[in-house]
Amino acid sequence: MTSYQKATLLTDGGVAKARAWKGQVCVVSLSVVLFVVLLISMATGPLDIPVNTVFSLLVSYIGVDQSVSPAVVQVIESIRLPRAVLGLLVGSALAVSGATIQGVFRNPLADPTLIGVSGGAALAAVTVVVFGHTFIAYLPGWLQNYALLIAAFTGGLLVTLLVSHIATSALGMSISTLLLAGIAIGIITMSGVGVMTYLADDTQLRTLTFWQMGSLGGATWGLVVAAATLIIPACLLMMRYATRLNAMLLGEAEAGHLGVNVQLVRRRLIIFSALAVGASVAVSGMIGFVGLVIPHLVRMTIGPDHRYLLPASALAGALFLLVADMVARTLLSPAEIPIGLVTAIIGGPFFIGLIIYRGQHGAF
Amino acid sequence: MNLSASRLNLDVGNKRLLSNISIEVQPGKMLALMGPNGAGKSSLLKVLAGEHSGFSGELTLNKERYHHWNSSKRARVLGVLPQESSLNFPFTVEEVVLMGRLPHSTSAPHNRAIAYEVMERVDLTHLSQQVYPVLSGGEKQRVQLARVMTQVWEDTGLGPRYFLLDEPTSALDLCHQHQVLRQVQMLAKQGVGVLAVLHDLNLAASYADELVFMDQASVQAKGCPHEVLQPALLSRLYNTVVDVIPHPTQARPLVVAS
Repeated sequence: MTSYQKATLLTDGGVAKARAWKGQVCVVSLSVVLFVVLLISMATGPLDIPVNTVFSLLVSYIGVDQSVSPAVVQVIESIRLPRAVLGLLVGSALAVSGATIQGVFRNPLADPTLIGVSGGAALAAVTVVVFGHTFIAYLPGWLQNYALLIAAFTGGLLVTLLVSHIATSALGMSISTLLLAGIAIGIITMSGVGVMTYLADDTQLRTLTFWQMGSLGGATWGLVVAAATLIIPACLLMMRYATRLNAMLLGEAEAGHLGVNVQLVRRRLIIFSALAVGASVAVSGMIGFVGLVIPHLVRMTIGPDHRYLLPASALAGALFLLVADMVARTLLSPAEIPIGLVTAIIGGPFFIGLIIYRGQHGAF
Repeated sequence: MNLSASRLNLDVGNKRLLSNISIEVQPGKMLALMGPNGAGKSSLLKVLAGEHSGFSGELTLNKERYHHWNSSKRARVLGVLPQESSLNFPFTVEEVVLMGRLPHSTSAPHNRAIAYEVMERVDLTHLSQQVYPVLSGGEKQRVQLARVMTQVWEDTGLGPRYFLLDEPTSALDLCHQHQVLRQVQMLAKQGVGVLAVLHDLNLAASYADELVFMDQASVQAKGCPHEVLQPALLSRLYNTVVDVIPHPTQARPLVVAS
């Protein structure tokens, strides 16, 4: 861009426009890439299915008649598609919640784990795995299959409510108390998980380990629907608060002067992200680093404006989890690596690189 | 129509921060709030900004009780510039300034036009693409000023607008101190009621219509610069020997500390 063009842009008030344009381009191109990766992910697996066959099948759903062999339809519809859709949901839930919590804490290095949701979910799930045999038989049939899921979700939500209750005084919710309470409760829940692990027998231990390292392997359409009914509304609601979240980054008092009801917005955003993260932990176990790394990466690309950051994070998180799941189920095929390990192996070094970059290029 | 407080008391713990304060911010006038450190200036500003709720006394905004205004409606007539802002996310200057339009439901091009006019006036146009966290302290303060000016720029049909500023010139060089206060004064001339906490007595004397001196949680003196800038009062308030002489070129007093 020549300096003359730059000058015209400036006088037009075009910079924010240019950045908004960048945000829109990012959202659109992520959607396209996501769709392509979705096709590839459904083509990949023990049974090799050509990408164009997958495409034909998807096209047939919107009424265009295509002939696809029933075996392929069976594999895609009952195994690969629900798994991919679950990955999309969990990935976007984790990334959007991460971005939101970072905004609420006004700290780009915060994570939904800080509000206790993962710890609470883990403790409840582990308890069900270890002691479930004593009470699950008494539950109604439809509940038995979902006992773990419901326990994890409820545990996550309860601990988040407890943490935010501790942090709220007559003067409102204090962010630093929230942080401290979250860390303390996190330690307590983790030691609870430790106790449960100690009490578990060998088979339970395998279930526990697998759950703690995360997996999309249990995906069924029932699970997808259960996760979607919580995750989609929670993510859309978080996006509705985008401009107010922007103002809150200025500071609490400043946001208040701009007419934002800071206490209310903060409380709601914490609940929405606890819902989204609780639901994802319940269906897929603990999957780390998505909520931390993805929003960070998106922010570095398109800036911190939540109107674009949240949707772009949703897409990027979904994309990241889809790719991680492809690695998880193909790298050591037929064995499967827990997806939490994959995200941590990719995410950890990446995050260190980010910290170094941050040190050299200022606080982004 | 004004922003007024009468018989205001504020206690935090067992410390009295404000004691029987009555003050009026008139549309079109610029009022400077002055006094030594710890006098209660910032507490008063916070009460007027709606940040404290545990006070007693009466607070009215444009003839309506202050707490009857809902927060987003109030933000259309009342802008507040805090002492310092801790934004550490990489928003551009322009994005920060545009946040001032959040309470208003005006169109995006209109908002941008206002933001650009304001940035022009406080000498920020050349920085509009810069990322906020890397700016210098003085530049950040001007960005925040521009944000709040953008917020109260236009009449919204809800009565006169008000602008509260907590030490707007503290991080600025001589040139920008005057530039900023000229802009604030110009807003006042357009009918905005301004209350600014200032430390520099001479800056206050040259821009403010009325000076209010606070000490030990209460108002000690108020009036136009000629009336209140008296050596005896200033020496007592600041515990320093102070002389007041006529300004060599302007029709205002000049305070000299010795």
